[in-house]
Amino acid sequence: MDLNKEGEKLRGEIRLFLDEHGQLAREKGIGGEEYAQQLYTKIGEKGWLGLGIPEKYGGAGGTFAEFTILQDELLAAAPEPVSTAALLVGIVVPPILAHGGDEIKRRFLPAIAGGKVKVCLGCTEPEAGSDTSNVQTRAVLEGDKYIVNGTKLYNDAYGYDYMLTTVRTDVKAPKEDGISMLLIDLKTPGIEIIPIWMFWTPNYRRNEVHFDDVEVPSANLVGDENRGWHYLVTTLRDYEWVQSGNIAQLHIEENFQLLVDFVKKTKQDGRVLSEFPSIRHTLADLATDIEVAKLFYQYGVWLLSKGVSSGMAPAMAKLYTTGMAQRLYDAMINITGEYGQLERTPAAKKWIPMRGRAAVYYKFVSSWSIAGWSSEMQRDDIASRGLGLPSYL
Amino acid sequence: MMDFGFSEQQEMFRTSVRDALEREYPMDVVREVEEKKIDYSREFYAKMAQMGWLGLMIPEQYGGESSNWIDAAILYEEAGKALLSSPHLVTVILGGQAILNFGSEEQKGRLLPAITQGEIVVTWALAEPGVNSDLSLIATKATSLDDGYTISGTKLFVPFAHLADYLITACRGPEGEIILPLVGGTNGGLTSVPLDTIGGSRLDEVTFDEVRIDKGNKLGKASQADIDQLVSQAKVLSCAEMVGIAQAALDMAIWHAEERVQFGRPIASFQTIQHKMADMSLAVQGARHLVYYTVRLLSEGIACAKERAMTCLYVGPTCNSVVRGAMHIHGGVGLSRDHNITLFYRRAKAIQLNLGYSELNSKIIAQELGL
Repeated sequence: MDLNKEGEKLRGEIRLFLDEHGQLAREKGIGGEEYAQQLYTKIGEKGWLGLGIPEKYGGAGGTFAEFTILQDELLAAAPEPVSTAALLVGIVVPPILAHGGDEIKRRFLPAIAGGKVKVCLGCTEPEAGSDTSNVQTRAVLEGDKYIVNGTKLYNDAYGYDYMLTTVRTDVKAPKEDGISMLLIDLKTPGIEIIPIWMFWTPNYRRNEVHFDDVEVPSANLVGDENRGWHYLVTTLRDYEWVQSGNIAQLHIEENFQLLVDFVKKTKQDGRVLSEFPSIRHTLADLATDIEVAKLFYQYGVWLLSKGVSSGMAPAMAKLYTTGMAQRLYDAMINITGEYGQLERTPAAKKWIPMRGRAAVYYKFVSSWSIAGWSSEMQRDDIASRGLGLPSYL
Repeated sequence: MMDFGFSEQQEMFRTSVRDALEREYPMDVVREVEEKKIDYSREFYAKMAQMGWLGLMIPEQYGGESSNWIDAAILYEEAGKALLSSPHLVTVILGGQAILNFGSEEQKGRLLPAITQGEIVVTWALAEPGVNSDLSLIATKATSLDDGYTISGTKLFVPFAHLADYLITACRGPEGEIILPLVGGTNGGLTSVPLDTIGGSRLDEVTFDEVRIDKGNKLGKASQADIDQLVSQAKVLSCAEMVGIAQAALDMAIWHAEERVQFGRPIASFQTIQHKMADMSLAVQGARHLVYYTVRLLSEGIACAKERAMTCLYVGPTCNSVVRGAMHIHGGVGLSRDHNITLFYRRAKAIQLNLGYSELNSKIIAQELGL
């Protein structure tokens, strides 16, 4: 969706840039981490990571709705580490912008907008999954430093410069009111980053980060002490859900088109798959499902662009798009039958349909109803905030 | 009235299978087989021979065990819980039954005892590019020579092809008829290329380039209906395996939900989780009913093409949705490669995909309904 003519123009520029850059990389034969890093730096130089960040803090101004245009295009055409890094910009910048003091904004926002500093989010812990206020990581103020101890799970710390971290600064207060947000330099002594290998592709890495008496300057506190959880909830609600809706759209149209082309040209036992009424109807249902999901997401973006409260839109977008994606990828692998189970190996290349998307996405999609708060949390939120039912959490 | 009970002997068999798997086939072995790409544990397969599991439904005169399809379903359900990988389905069930139904006395006497002892691996090569089950479209050709045949063509998704002593290969004979040669695994002209699957095992692309076999080295006449019946019977056992997989995944989810505390209480105490798990148990039990109903019909020799198709149509997606639900309940921890639920999630989908196209099963059911 394009918000307006300027949005359309921006989308065109980003597409052209990604096409040219991808083409150049193929000609030079670079790929993997090196290509991803180069691409990310160039996107920073273009100023696009600063969409939604005021000019006085090194950004390009405008609203985060414009940033979502970049996000859409990266999800469609850039390597995963690049789209994830940009997604994280959309998640970590809003709380810094809304609650951080002038000094911390000047230190961090221009560097983030320029693609020079990468910041990840650290909220999940062994005892704090959906229960985000159950933070056990401790930060004790000693002079002008916080001493941090604890563990954060399933984050992007590896290869990142800072972690926007929720830490417990008051153990006596109600648990929602004793949490603060710190920007922690991941190169500080006492930090250990251990890989957690996810199951969907061989090199998909999340991290377990241990903080052992890590010293963090108190100047890296974002906003007020003990307000961090409230910042986080707003962050997760207003942005991560929209962005999660976005994740659920990752390659959706491209993959659906691959499926449509596949059933048109593939014969099984002498019949073209598209002749089977059940397959035709499944595809029609999926096309409708995708359309509804896109509208949920675009509605959230539209609300953002108007600067009004997004209300239940992000929760609904996240819940609906993840469900849609699971229905799509289950159908995609089932329709491909025996061929759908093949992993992308050189030997299997000639038999693998749809660029091997069926097997990879069937695995990957299982994480989307969990990451960025589980579907149960969205349902609970829609029920309590949206419908006004009493909350039992 | 249908008998839902198991005989004392069957209960004992289930217990002994479960005990052996729990004792000697823990999840470390599942991972080892997958990570080292060794296809199956030779050690455990030898144990299976000792325990008589490789003699299922093979008559005692050929070294087999007195048993029926219900016993086989019991074995497969328990094997599913343990994620056992073995050539049992292709060697003992498909191979054993094909030799028994279509083989000569000489072939039975020579091959069946070797199967029951775990001495040979027999596999089944049927599917071809674009051909899943319609034998009239088979392009692999057997050309007649004076003393035998030469076979040329490509077969897909052949389990254990690279280890097989014999590949029962569906071919088009000189007269256009279907013949089933027993191609020796070491015959010249045979090439197998591994295709890795999400299930963690490999299925092979097997190329036959003028592979020569002796005239006597083929099974007797088998029609499309004969082969369909045999293949769909084996698929019912894969469905029993899926029931075991789904049950084990559900059990893991229940365990996790009782242990995992969020918002100050075990997540198992939340109604949304309870109802999800109640639905999952309903799904597993429905699938189990259908599997055992069908194997009872098979054991009594009652025609059950419709029930076999219903079993494949229902159990595959139903058990997969249970495994997906179990994974979801595990949350983030269940998404790391180190968590066993991921093994179940991958394996369940691979088995479903090998059950054949749902369109095919729906078609059979509709035909049986007289539509």
